Amino acid sequence: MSLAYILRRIALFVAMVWVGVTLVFLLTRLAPGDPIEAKALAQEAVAGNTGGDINAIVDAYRRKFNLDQPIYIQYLTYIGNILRGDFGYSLTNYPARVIDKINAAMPWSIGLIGVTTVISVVFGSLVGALIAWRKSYMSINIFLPVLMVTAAVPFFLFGLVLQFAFGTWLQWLPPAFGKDPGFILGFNVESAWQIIKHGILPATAIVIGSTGFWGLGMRAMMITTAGEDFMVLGDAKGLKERRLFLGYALRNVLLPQLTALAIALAFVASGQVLVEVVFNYPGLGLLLRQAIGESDYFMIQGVALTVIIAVAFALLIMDLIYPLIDPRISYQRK
Amino acid sequence: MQQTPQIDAPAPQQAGGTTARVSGIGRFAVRFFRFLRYNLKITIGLSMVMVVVLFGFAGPLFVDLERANVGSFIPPGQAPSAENWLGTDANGRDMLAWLIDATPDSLRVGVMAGVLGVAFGAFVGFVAGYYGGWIDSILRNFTDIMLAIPGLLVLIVLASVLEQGLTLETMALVIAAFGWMGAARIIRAQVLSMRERMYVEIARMSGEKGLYIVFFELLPNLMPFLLAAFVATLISSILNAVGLEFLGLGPVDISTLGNILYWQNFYNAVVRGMWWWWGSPIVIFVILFSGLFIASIGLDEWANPRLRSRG
Repeated sequence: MSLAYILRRIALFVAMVWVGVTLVFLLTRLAPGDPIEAKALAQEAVAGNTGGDINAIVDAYRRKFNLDQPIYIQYLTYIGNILRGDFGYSLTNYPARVIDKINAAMPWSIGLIGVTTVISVVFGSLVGALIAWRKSYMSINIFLPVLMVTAAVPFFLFGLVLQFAFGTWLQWLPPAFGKDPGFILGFNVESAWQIIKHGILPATAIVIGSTGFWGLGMRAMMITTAGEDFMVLGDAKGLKERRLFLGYALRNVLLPQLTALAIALAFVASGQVLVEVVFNYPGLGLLLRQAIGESDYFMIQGVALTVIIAVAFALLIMDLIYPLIDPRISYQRK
Repeated sequence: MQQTPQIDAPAPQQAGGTTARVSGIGRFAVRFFRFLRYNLKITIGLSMVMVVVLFGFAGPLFVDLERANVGSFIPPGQAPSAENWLGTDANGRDMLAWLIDATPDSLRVGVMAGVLGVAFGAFVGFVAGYYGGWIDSILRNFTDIMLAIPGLLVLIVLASVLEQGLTLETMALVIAAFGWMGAARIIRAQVLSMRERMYVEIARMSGEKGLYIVFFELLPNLMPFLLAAFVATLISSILNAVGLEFLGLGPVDISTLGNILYWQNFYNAVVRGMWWWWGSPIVIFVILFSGLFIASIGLDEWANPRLRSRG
């Protein structure tokens, strides 16, 4: 892995974050109206005065974000604040900082997306590869239409069905939240059980939704690989079926799957946010839902920026790991 | 493995092939329908989509849409019965009428965003592929970066700023702003390989003008890819629209399918056991999304014969 490669990837990461952050800035400034004042006043009208003098908050924000300044100074201030990890204050719980709330929610979301991604990539890839494999049992083919349906339907719809079936109807698992109300998490078995118990349904919804995507991607690549010359040679040499499948075909296809993961990550992250909303799961999704309900503009923006930066960061990590797994990539001049 | 018949069938003239005599959109349509006979996926997928389209557009002929209003004096919270086929919601809205009312608008958002997204994406991809060089490298990198940004989150921020909420048209427009990248990638790759093909060379040598080459030599061969890209964009656009609406950020004065899901969430229909409230829109979504997705796989195979599975 050359230094130039690492630098190029880091530059791409910076560009990604910059484009995302700038898009959020531009789109919100192009929209008519003053979000801070409008939301603060609307909130006062609906919910009464929740956190101190609204006008003082609006004025404080005006000064803090230089909203009376020309737009490029506003932009620079905005970028500067983000670089320092300062997403502003919650409008509804005024003294609370957005970044603190996000930090509290992040472990839940990262845990969920980590576990579900590993499960669905492994499971989906295996099923997809077996479907494409000429000599596997024909019965595995019934999974193909199943994969097509699950790949097409948004995650949170599975969430609704699972929540009703296992949460409300059968009552096997808790239908919502990350832990029982009032339970205080610590480093013990009971806490772990709480987290697992509450995580099963949202995780299953995401796994069902994304398995189809992996399976179909794997199937398409497997069909191409199975026709390669080295596969024919391996077959002619009389290699065992298992060796041919695992060592020759699967191994070659797994790496492009990793690239697909990079493209899918933004999509999966968006889908997960909605699943968390369905289950009131205490990650970024629930934070976002509450913020939307309360018109907490800075919280909404903070969550969006966090997801954008997190996805870009995950891509950077993946890009840096990739050449370690696949030596071909470091020779490639792109 | 499956669907052996259409795979071994004599393949119709393939798009992107080196056939020199390709003339216009008419030939394209003929080829499309000829392929339809062989490709089960497109046929099945499009039929599923047609079911949803018919439900939305022919439904008003059979069901009184007044029943979808809150003040229509229908007993609220009814499970499906002979009078209310799909039950009623917590405010006495008839689910069947509500769904029929909502379906066309959901489709409309998708189609508008799909057309806009593909048009812009095709333009970007075309410029990148045709001119190459630094223009290409800028556009390609920009496309890749946009692809890695979770569009839904940016859309949420934007929608939350707008005081009046989004209208159907603005929602389609902003969704299209995050739905063009797929088309751009596909078209760029195709144009890159096509502009060096023999028939383009011949057209150029026989004195055809640039625009003529674009519209009469390149475009007909790009049509399958554009169609596949359109369906893919349609899917992602409806997905984004449903996501926004589910969070309560869509158009407020129009019924859409995502809007129904927002209200069932608002009234805790899952916990209250009102399965018909969220169940019926889900059935429509499953038919619609599966149909579109299966059709898009079929279209991909039509556009790119190498994807067709071997028996």
